[in-house]
Amino acid sequence: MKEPGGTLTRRDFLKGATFATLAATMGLPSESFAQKQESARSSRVVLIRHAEVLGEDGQADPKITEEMIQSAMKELFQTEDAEEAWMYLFGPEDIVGIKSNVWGPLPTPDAVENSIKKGLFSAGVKEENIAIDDRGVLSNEIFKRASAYVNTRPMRTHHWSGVGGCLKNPIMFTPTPWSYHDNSCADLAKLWEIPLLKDKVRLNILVMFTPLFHGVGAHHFNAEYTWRYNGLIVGTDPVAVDSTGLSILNARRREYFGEERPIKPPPHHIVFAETRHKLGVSDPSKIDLVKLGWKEGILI
Amino acid sequence: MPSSLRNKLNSGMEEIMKLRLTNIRIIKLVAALLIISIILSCSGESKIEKDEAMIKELFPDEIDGWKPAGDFETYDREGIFTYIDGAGEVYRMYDFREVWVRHYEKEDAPSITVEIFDMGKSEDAYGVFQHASQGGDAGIGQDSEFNGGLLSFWQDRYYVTLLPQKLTEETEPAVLNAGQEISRRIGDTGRLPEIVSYMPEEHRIQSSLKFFHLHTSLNYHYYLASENILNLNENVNAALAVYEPDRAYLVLIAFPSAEEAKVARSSFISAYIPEAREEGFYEIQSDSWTAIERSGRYLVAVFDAGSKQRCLDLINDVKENLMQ
Repeated sequence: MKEPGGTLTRRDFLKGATFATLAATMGLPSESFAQKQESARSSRVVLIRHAEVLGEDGQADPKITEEMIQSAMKELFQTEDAEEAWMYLFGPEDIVGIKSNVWGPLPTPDAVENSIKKGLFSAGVKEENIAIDDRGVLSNEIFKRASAYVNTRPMRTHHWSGVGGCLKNPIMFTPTPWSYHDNSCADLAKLWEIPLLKDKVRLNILVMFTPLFHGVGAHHFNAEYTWRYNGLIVGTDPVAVDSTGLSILNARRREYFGEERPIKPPPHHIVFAETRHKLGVSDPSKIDLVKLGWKEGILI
Repeated sequence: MPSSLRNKLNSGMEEIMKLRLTNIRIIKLVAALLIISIILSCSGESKIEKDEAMIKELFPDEIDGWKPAGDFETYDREGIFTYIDGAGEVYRMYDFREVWVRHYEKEDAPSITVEIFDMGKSEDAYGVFQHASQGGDAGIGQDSEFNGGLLSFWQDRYYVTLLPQKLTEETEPAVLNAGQEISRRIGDTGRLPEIVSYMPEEHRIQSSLKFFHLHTSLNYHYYLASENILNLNENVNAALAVYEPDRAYLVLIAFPSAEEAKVARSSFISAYIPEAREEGFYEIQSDSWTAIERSGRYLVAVFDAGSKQRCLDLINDVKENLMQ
């Protein structure tokens, strides 16, 4: 294995367990990463699902969504009640930006945004100190003064970075998003070094209600390639959250296409977030995944 | 009239004539300059206007009852990101100049978006089409596919996409008809990249044939390395295809010079198969061979081949094609 930060080749992916998620994405044989490495660090991630969170119209039920987030928070922080979990992360003195995502075909649902706000209220954060934004974060006064962020968006495949998840969501914190495009967004984790953002993202919620698992063309959306998974992935480690989401997308692709069909381009930014940028854990074997709620078709 | 006065008058007339002639020359010169500048400025403007008008003319006036909504939108190499976010990079990997977009609407029906990308040259229109192509010709332009609700085709230097907001029994034929109409309006056809003609056809998975310039493209089709270990760049033409029965990947790269090919080969061996040393063949896993060989300014690389002989066969096939 090369030193972190050096050139990673296909041969490295064939050899090592560290890159298991990406190796799977690339359709490489599973036995190649059978040799598990000692966990240097583990990340706890909660996957929660509910069979009835989406109505017939596809809209998320606000009450069920809130219950899901509260349950996930309790489990994530091993607390008696959700309020205590929220207070683990936030307090009355905090100014909090909720980094959402407005992408037309698959935006962050209102029900998720509002549930997060309620959670923040329960931790004592004042309403006037909370803002929800996506493309306007750099001019948003709350975001400019924020002491903390909650990062939330739906999971989807992406024509250039492979997938768009929590790691990619802060792209609007730079006035030059294209400066992170090099090598299929390999170093998206650098976004998390932006001073406005660095060390301030305390919670990541990856929305898996109707993830997009495949796309054609630059605009990339077709409802045919979404499915009702009815889940949320909640964690403090954005790399582990995205890696878990990616495993589910890979499983869905196998199920749908009936064969290994690698996501193109390979979302290697998730691996590099761990190996180069030390932002979190991408290897599923090092992720402490807790599954709550509806189990049918869980795919992981 | 006294001769002295006549002489003075004559000399005055001469001066006037000289002055007139000078003025006429100046006027002629100014006029000529003016005409030249008008011609020059007109030809500049008219070229841009002509290009714009030409691309606008490619859009149908109506699509089976769908009418244009709003003005044309256009995005160049820089502006593309405001239109399609990071995915704009796909076009920028090629000689993309600009995209023209028009939305069509019809009452109680999903809208249809038509995009016409000017890719600068036909080779790159082909390349960008093949980039994400999964095969299945829809019979429009020089190659096309109708996949995942998106009709795309290439013809001449244009890459064209037609995307209905929703695929319905009504939008599907409308999109296909509009595609045919745009193809008819483009009229001309363009040539394919020369390098793809050197790729062996036997046992080739047809939809796997790709044409590109940059290592990001190579990684999209076959993830080789995080860094550019084959020294690919804008001045390089490359082709990739997958071959049955072992699904071996064959990559052919044309460098501007033999020296550049030589340097790239060394870079590849040192970063990827140092064990192979100068021979250029190595079994990186059981029954999975990688090979690289240079032929003049060309590099031929084989990945995931079932045997060393298989590598040699594919390389020799390419070399034969190069010699023809």
